[in-house]
Amino acid sequence: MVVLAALVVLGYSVYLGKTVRVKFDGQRWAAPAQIFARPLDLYAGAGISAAQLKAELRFLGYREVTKVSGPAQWAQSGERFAIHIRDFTFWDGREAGQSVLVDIRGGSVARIRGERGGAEIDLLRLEPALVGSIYPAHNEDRVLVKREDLPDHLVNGLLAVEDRRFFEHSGVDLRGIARALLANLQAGKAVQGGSTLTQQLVKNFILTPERSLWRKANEALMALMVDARYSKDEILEAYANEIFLGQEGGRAIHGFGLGAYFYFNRPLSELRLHEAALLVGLVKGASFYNPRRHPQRALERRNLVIGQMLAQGFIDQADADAAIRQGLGVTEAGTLNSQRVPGFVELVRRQLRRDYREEDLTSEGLRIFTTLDPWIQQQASSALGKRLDVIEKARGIERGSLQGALVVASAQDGEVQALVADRDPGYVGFNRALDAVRPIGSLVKPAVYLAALSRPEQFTLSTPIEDKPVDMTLPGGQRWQPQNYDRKVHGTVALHESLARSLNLATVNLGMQVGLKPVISTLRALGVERDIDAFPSLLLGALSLSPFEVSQVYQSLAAGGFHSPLRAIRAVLDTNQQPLQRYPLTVTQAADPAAVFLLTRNLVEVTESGTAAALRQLLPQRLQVAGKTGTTNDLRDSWFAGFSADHVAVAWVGRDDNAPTGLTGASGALPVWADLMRGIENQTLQLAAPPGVEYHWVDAAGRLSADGCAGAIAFPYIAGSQPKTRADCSENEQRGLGGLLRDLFN
Amino acid sequence: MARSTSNHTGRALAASVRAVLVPVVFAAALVLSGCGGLSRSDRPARVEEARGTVAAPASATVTADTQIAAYSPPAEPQIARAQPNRAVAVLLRRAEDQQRSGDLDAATVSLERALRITPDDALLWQRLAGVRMAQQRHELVLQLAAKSNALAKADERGLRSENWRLIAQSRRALGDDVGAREAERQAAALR
Repeated sequence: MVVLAALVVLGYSVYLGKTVRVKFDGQRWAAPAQIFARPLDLYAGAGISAAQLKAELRFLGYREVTKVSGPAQWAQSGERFAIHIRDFTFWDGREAGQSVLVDIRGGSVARIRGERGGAEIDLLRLEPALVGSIYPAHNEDRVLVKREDLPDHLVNGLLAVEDRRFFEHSGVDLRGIARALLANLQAGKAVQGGSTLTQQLVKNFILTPERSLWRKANEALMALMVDARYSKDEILEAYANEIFLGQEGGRAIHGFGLGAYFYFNRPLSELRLHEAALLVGLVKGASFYNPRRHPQRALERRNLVIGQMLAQGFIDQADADAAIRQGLGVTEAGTLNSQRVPGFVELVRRQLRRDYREEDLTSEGLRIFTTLDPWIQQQASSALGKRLDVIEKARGIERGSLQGALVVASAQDGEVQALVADRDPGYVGFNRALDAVRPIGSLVKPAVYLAALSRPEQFTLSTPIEDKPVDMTLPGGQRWQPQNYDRKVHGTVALHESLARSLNLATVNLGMQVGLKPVISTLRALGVERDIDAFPSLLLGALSLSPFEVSQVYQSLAAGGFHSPLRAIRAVLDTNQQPLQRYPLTVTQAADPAAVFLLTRNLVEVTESGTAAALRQLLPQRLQVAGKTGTTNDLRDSWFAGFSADHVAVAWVGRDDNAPTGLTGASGALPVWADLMRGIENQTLQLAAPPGVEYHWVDAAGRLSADGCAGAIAFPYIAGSQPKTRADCSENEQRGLGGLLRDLFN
Repeated sequence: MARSTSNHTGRALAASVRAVLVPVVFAAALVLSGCGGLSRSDRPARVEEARGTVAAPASATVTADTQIAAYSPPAEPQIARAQPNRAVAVLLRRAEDQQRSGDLDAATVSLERALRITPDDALLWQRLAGVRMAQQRHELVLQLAAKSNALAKADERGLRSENWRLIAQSRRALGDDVGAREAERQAAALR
């Protein structure tokens, strides 16, 4: 009997020991992938305003001080910034932090120098902000820290409040239990716990939260085993990474490493006494002492921790007084760095899934360097949210019924700079930017015109085309009689005018002349991967794409006909900062650059005097952009796609239930797009004609003419495609500057 | 740019008279006093775009037709901004060093970073093509060199010639001898 009992105890102990080992060793290495924004390059000439630089420093959790005295601090005086940059390991090597002076003038960087009369610096970068992570299905998110990363204040605080004999006991602290028991008896209720850090760890790690004597016994037994097997430092490190510190939606905040970011937006090593004390205070109850929801309670708890640290000699009176005078200092929930870019992170996740297994992403501690520009993301997100509010109010649309998406990429290399998937930036759910696959309406037209302009012997910007009624039978037997938006027929119009005014009938007639096949292959070349039905209705946008897919098409146009796959990731490093993979820049020529140039000219006309002329009132006057409006049947989808020299952006506005919104492309998506473009640094489209394009003056009838002739316009032509007939414009018809001058000087 | 004539004229003049029209009008006046009429060859005002290609004449801004405005280059100069040449030069040098020491991946990274600063720099695209050539990525070389050609100014003959040389070399490596000879011809014509 005794032997049997002994065997059972022994067997059970072996079982517990194994559980401890598996959990402890296994758990320690489950580290979610960390997602970083792009680093900000600083150099003389960089288009960065003082407001943007300040925002960037805040994203990074740098402290604003009056005099910079250490890493991650900045001070501002007028347009001069003193910044002490953190050390950081990039995908192309480690960069030592340094202290610099950055002068901004009129919205761009004028000069960068080393501190204290240092030499001029040609190029440097701010490290990228941590913007999210990919954590496992059971929703535990953490930023792993090592024992040596734990600040003394934090460890001392833990010892003072939770387990003062941690370094002496062997997993269970009998004296502590006795002390707690006594205190509780005296108070008549439970005021102190006798659990050691080790016991707390075991409890969190291994056991269910039921409260029973049996569980207590198990917990104590396992704590003894853990203590026997692992060093105090290992236990401390595991505790620091395991501890539950808060909840945000479905995401559980675990460990002090992530806690530091979650509450203070900075690395744990940079926390000061009062901040570390707050985190220690949260150990007792992260939701009860939630500093964002119950600031007073959290403050009292924090000050109690500071008091205990003082009482036990970890800090002196002056330190304690100074710390207690500090406010809580927590960032507002909803700042960029607390997982506020779920839409973009989802894109990153999908692009990573091609190369990595899900469990690698959630447990291998990968460092993922993305293309996200936090500043542009913030502007985009605010443009969508605010503009939809305005539109609903102005038009008496039910509040909150409109939804939208916005994608921004760099024009030439296709890096995704921002992605807004919902008007509420923190919403995690249906990703409209990636998954709202909607008819694109007139956004398809540039592909029709590009297919036409790619045949210069047949079509030029001034070629007359017929805006006449269309009556066709579609392959399904359905009769198709599209109309213009104004329900009128405009007769013969110049090709450029038809696109500028987005004439449906002229476009269908042009498209049928060109043929559906070339239009489809143009769309393919520009980056559409989805199946495309070869129906004539394609010419008016009977093709459904997501805003992201549309962005790809317009990126190819914005890059002069060179397609670069839209990328959200630059590089992936492993947990030891060694490069695993890079996602390099590639280009594929999608169309003749000369034809794309003509089309771009035409798309500029759209924004100057065509269907998107409203942009002129919304954008700075010197900013020339190209773009296209899109509206679908019954005003269900409102689109705008366009680009400046450096950004391509696509906005979609509609309803989740696909009901009509009452908005055209120009009244819904266009102002969202304009608000975004106004909020970010943009270079105007330069429209430099590529080799093989020349300008010719052409009159209204499409004949070559002199530049002074009435109604004559200078059009770009692919060399040799200009009209052959010459207009005979007599002298008295000459107006314009030439005529004006002659009148003056004759 | 406005669409109504009076508005348009006023605004366009206000915007560009100082910079463009005054000297141009003066020059045109000299021309006109010397000869009778206007012909295409002595158009009074021609704004040269940065790239040196033919651009729409500035006289377009005072005609009645609204469409002309859409096809002329921006009337106002951009806000003066320091040119990021030095930052790009640093990265170009770094890429050259990296390529010389055989670290082609690092050279790619440096050139891509430079391209984020000046994405319309034909030389950077060509250098990237050069690094890809060293990596035997011939398909990519063809594309990068074509991109460089599309961005090159007409008078950058040496640069364009080098692009064609890279294209010729890659076409040959890919077994396209006819295409390679054609590219070599282009390269030679530009030298």
